[in-house]
Amino acid sequence: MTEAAACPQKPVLEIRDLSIALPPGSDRAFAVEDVSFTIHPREIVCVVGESGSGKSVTSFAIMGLLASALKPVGGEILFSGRDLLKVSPAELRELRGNRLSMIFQEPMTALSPTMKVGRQIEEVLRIHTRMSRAERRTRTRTLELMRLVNIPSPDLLSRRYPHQLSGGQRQRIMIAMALALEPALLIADEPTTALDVTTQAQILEQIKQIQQRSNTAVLFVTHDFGVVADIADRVVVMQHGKIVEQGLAREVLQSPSSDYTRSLLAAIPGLHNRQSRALACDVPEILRIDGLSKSYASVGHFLRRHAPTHAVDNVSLTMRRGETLAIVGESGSGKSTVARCVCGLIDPTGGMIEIKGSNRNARTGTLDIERHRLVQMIFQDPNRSLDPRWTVGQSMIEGMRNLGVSRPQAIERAGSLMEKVGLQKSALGRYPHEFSGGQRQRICIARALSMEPQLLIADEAVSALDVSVQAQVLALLARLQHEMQLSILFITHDLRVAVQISDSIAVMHQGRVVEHGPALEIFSNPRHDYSRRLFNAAPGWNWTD
Amino acid sequence: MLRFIFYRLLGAIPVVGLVSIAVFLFLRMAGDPVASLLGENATAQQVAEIRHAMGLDRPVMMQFLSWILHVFQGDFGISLVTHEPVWKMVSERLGATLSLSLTTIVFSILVAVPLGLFAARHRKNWIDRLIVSFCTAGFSVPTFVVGYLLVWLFSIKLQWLPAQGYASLDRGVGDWILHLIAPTIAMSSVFIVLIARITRAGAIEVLNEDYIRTARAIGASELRVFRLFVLRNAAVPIVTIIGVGIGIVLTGVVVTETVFNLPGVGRLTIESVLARDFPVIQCVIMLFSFTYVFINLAVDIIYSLLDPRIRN
Repeated sequence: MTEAAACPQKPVLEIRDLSIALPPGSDRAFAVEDVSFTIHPREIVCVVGESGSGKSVTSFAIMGLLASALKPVGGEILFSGRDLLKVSPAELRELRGNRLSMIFQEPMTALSPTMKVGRQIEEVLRIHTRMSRAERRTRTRTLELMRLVNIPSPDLLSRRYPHQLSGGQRQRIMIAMALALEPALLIADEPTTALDVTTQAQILEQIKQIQQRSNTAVLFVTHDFGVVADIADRVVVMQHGKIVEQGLAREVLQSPSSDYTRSLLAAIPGLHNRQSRALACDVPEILRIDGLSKSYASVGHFLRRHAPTHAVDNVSLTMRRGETLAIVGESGSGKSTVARCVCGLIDPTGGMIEIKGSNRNARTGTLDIERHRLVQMIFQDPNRSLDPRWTVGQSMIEGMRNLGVSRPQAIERAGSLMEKVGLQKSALGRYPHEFSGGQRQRICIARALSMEPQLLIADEAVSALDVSVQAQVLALLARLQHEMQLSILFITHDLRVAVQISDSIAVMHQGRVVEHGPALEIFSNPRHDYSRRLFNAAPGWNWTD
Repeated sequence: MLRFIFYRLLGAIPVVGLVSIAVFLFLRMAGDPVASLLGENATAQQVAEIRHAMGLDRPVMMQFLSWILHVFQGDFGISLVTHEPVWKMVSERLGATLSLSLTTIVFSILVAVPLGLFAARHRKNWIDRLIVSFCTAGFSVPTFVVGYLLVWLFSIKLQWLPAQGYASLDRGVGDWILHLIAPTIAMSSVFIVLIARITRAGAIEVLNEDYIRTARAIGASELRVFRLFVLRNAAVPIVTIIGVGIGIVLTGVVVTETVFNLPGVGRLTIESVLARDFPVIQCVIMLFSFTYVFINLAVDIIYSLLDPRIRN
């Protein structure tokens, strides 16, 4: 890999002074401005940046897949000597999927739902090669490609539809499609962002292996420096449509030259950002979960009943006042189900949830308003957890009004909470769409606090945010926790976030807690096999800590 | 898949039963057929005699059972007006109606789906706007107006087409088609607009999906993108509207057959309603209802063929 970077070769891709205009009336004139970089054969170049940095726009421009509102206005994209901005649509089609291919972020939606996955791989071959009838019938190449990307029993799975495969399997199908004709350049736009860490690790490994076998150059777009640390030869850092820094991955990560890169690296959650947390031993317990279970009866045929799915299976946990407990695990591990049971959004099928003495038999499902007040929840997607037709103020006072707080009092409290989370009082009169994602999450936090809760449940509350915003929101939560003696139940798949903020940690796998204890102990010395596998799979796990 | 179809068929049985009961009861509620048949001057004795002869003095339940049992044997009774077997009268008229419905549906789909896709492909520019405004105009003109316009232009002015009537298939395909052209176009106008608009809307939605981007990223041509990816994934709403449209065709035949003087089931319906020929009305309504139930069934089955996610 480093050899390729060391001995100068003819580059596969050379972008010179690329500028792409945004439609008039946008917040800035260019989506991408004066961007130049090159990629050599066998090289993995990572383009890193936060949302709005222009990293995805750059990659779509190479493929000629820009939205019609975005117009390249300057520069050139040279791909083996030809300017991709000037070639005819027919020439571009000839290159796409053949010499130039792309993997997208969302494996769930990137494949056509009405076509068998094997057929979708074959589609690439049909478009670019002449397939004989025999080749079509035996599907030799399709099955070979599926084996190459480690899909089990290709013959069987090739006849499945996308919705019958897991996210990881679908992304492998995408990779098989992209690599079918051994392209000179593979563009991967956040290909692992939507996947679980263990799947992510496998997919990254896969891309690396295939890339080395077939001399493919890779342009890898990501927001995750962990991924960069794992796979990049060189890094291009982008901000507001411009390149702020580029160089060898090792050098950029260890001694960044620009302030922006330094601030990005500093914002990455992890041990280095952990503040000392001391929890007194004599504080009272606030939450006790005992033998919690939640199962769903699957919808079966009326003559045949399926076994129920155990989303949560006999989980017992305790939390003390002012404590942060992080529940980590992959999707489907049951961590969100636990949170929803504690909050009372869903009723458990068995076990006890005791909140600050107010005993509640989980099975009877009785809810009291006091419990609703004590436990408040913040959700993952701040864009969708505020009613777009209500002003922020209306959303803020709704809960308090339900508790019988008078209107002027509620507005008064809402105003002071806005200031507490770093927003202005005037924000109350505005609508959610007028705020950025980070600001909206602050509003959601303020709304939760308006009920004066003792226990705050944050369900992936920072996962949708850019690193720098994420760092700010985490800092805010830490400050509020300290000021208000809050207990925080933090549900996350991001181990770096967990290691930065939690006092104790519970690792969940297939509905069960496999390991539970003080955070630092578990992170430094995981005892359960699954925890070890999970921690090792996290990208760049050993790089900053 | 076969099991899915089997269960769907099973589910249609109670619907068919309910439809039969409803058809029978509604007509009974509409008034005494005998009174209107004999006119105001009939004596009570005459009415009673005829009622007895027709079995109308028995309990409604018994009447229904005997009617439905006969229906099962293909016996819909005797017309009160012509005294011919009802089924013979209806089946003689089926040819024209079936021909007209079929040509209308096929013609509409063949025009509307490409039109809708074409509009979606050129959305927001003048081609799209032209198609959309044409559709709006087409929707606001009633079928009979289009019908009379066509007759005036092609039959009277240009004399290219026969103005009236129907030629059955055994008199030659050419003649058959010639007689159907104007009624088909007249009846299709609304149907085309309906399907084209839904196709356009569905295709525009699908065009924004990630997998369309994937299709372009592997180098598929626009034609291929539309044929293999857009149409297939937009098909469910299109099939739905075609199913609904067939229902509209069924009611539309009444008007169109009158305008073009086609001897079809639609005109038979009007004739028998005017003459209060109850056995015929019953038979025709049953026929229409059953067709509708089975079209819905067919639409359901086609859904599952088109979209694997609907299959159980």
